[in-house]
Amino acid sequence: MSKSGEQILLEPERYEFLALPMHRFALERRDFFKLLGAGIAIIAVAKDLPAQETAPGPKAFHNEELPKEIGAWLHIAEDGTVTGFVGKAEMGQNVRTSLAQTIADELGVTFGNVRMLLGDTALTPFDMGTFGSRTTPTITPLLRRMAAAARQLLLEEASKKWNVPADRLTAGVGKITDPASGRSLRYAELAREDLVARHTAPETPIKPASQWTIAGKPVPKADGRAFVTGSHLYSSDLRPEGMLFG
Amino acid sequence: VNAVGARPITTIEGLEKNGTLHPVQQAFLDVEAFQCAYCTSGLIMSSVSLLQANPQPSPEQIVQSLQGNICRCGTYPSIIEAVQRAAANMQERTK
Repeated sequence: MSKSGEQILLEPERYEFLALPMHRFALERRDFFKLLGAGIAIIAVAKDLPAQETAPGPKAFHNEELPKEIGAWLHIAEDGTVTGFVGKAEMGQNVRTSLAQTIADELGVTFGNVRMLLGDTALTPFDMGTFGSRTTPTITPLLRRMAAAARQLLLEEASKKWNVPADRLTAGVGKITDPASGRSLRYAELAREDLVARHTAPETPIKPASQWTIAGKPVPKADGRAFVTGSHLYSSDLRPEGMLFG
Repeated sequence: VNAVGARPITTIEGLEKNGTLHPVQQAFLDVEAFQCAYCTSGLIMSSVSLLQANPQPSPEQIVQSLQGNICRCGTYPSIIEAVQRAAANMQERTK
């Protein structure tokens, strides 16, 4: 509350003008994959975030240095597990479920294949906070774009392996399929190289809402069992090393 | 704490037996009788306690018994449904 009747400077209704999350990304490429495990990573570079989407893509860069300003990232592991890394926190609004639905829907994998790593700033991009109902309007489109970029990258990898143009291949149900020959490669098989792609590509097509099969549909709550067994950790349960108690 | 003395205490972590959820836990999960679930541990424990004393409570008795547990998400109708489902399942088992 303000002292002596001063004007309160917060304008809750103006949250939409706040910048998207950004992160000075300190990890070197090798450490990045050591942390995540081998696979394919899609990263949202801050300068590629909405409003300034001009870069072509998705561009896979194999041995270049990682960009430093990162908004979020997505990882496809060698076992096919997909993980979304987002700085927002799950605090009962069920974004762990809704964000995983978005990734599963756009990438073409099952809901159970996607896990979300949320709010652990040792592993996720910095985020200024979880407030103002901003997770859905800012993070959902970002993850959808990243998942679309991942799908495009997988199509291109399969295209290289088979020497078939990527636009003749289809992506879905966790694999890339060549309808002409009937052959297919699972995402897990394609994720065996440490590839990094930037989320860029405003032209990377994302699915219109009419084609959503997982997003916007009821699914059982992610980690539902943890809530009825007392094993879910809320912020107040966390005891990070070196934490000071007031 | 003094009132508890040396009596045994069961907490939410102790309800699950050999990987099988207690019928009340299972019913809360099946009905998804929670949103943020911050209150769920307490509501499940109060419901277990209620069903021990009264295996077939009416909705009114459930409301009365869970009066001290507050759910800010407002999932009360689902909670009543979950407790009734758990009661029915437990009844079924003892037949």
